[in-house]
Amino acid sequence: MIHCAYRCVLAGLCLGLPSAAIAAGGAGPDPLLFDVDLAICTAIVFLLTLLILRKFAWGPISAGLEKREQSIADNIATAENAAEEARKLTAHYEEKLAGAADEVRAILDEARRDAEHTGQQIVEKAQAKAAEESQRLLREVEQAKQSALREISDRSADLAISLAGKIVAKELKTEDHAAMIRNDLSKFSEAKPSDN
Amino acid sequence: MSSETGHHDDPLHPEHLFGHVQDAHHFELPHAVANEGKLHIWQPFEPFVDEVLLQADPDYHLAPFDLRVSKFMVLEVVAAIVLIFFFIGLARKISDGTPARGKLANMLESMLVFIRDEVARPAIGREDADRFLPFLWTMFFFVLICNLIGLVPWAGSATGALGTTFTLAMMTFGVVLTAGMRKMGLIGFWKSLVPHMDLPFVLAIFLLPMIFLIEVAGLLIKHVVLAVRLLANMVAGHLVLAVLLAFILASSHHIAFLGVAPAAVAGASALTLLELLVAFLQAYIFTFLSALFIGTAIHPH
Repeated sequence: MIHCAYRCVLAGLCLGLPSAAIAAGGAGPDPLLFDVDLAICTAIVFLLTLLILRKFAWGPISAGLEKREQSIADNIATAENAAEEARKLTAHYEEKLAGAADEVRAILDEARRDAEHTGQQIVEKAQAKAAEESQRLLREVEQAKQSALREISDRSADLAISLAGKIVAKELKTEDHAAMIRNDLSKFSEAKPSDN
Repeated sequence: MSSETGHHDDPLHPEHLFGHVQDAHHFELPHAVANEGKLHIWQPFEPFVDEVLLQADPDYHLAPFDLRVSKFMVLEVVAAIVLIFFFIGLARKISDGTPARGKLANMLESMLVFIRDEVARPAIGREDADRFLPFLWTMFFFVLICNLIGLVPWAGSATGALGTTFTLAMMTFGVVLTAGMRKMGLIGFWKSLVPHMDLPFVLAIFLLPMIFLIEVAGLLIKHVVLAVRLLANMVAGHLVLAVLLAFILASSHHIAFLGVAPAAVAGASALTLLELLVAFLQAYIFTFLSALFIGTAIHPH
């Protein structure tokens, strides 16, 4: 029995050699038996399946796969474009940001410059005003001096007139005359403007 | 197991074992379901054979062309229906370019894409491969489903008969010939079989026809081997399973039965898993070699 099983396994392993199988089975089964009906049936079934599937399955499936691959490729391309766009935008904004910092610095600088300028102006204005004030005071002093001098000269004229009147009123003698002049002159020296 | 004749008493007799592997005109079913464990297949051509052919010629030789429907024919049709059902279903889901949804659809699609990207395109070339995809896809899944049906209890593997595998191999041969001739021209294809050699004229007269004959024979042989490889793998696997299970019957009147039966069941289960691998592997090899032969025919050097 075991011998028989061994022969069967051997026959199974030696299927490429029909003679071996036949020898093992005597006049028994032939694994290389060729059934024409089965062959014809296989051909018909296979070709029909191929035709039906080609029309209703393989064509649409191929098209679907192709379409999906195309859309995936498109999506990847779109995504890459979007990424590129985003990268550009980022660079642009970073540039802008850097620009903004520069701008801020410029504004601050300008403000500082303005402030300094304004301060300077205020100082200059104050100095000018002070100078003007002192000029005005000097002018006033000058005017006062002028008016004092004018008054002095007026008074001296008056004195001269009154002196002349006195001379006229008295008949003057030479000595009287001299005494009078001396008298007046002393009065004159008493009224000196520098003693004001 | 009925034992009408002498050798049927021996469960390990080759005829008995092969009976479980080879084609038949009936399905083997449990005795509780079918009379004598056999479900005879309806023979639609029987009246025609009996009343027309045999009436006309009583000596009409029926074999081998006997117009009888066999188990493998039925199972091939079942395989074709399964194939059509699955893939038209898949086509409906993904033909508009949307991704496949569901386990089955994804599984089928990944297999299709595998055949396309790992078998057809490398073997045939990117630009020509897609023309042969319908053939290769049908071939792969037809062989695969026939192989897998062989693992279903009471069914059988249609790829375990030379009639099936030889026809499928001849389909590949036909595709190889037409593809080659369409690409290289009617004469150009046959000329391309002979590799170009710088031979002196006298030597060429003798050598080239011989090389041509060898190449033509080689072309035929490699397609026949395609058929035999698939057949041998399927028959051998099923035969080993049959032998293992027959051990149970053979030891049924012996105390060793208690040890043999569990061991045989365990072994048969393990080998069935191996058969599952073989079913996929052989379908892949058949398709891969078909693609390779097509590729060789349209790119000879």
